[in-house]
Amino acid sequence: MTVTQTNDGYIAQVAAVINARSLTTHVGIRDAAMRSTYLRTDRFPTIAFEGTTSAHPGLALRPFPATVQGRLTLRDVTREERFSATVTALSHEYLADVTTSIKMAEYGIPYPRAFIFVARDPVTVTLHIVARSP
Amino acid sequence: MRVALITITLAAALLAPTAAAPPPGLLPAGTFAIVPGDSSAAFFVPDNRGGFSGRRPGSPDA
Repeated sequence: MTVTQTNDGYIAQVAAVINARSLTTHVGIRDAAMRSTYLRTDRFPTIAFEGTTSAHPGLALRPFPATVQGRLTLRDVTREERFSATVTALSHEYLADVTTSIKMAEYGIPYPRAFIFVARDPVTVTLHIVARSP
Repeated sequence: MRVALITITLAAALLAPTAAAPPPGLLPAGTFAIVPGDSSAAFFVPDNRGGFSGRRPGSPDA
């Protein structure tokens, strides 16, 4: 993540990757199905996001809102996504909290089903990101 | 008259909207690396029986 100051605020270039094989629901049989059938992690082992975050933090004495916009790649589909974040700036690190939702249907993921359970959209995603100056 | 002018000037300064541009160097800039061990990712999938949740292992609250 690279943060630069602009004329009226700050902008950060952000790139993040999650190992899709590492995701777990704490139920082995469900995890196996999630990886093999729904995320197809053998072919698409990562979930990637690349984009920008912009904010007008004022004096940044408190957590401030930021807008995140970029391309999310899930399986073999890449889509433009936009969501809000709450950012806290510390002396050598940034904390960002994000709660957003994505739709499985938009990424070509079939709705998971097992026995009497049938999943549906949207999936709520909650992120807490700590980015530290090396 | 002079007192009135000073008062108006002060009032204008105090009531003026805060400048949009932040003071230079107020926030840390440069390159930052996401710390996987301190960061977390979780999700919730709704279904007809209430739904289930998951996360990336290694998250602090995992």
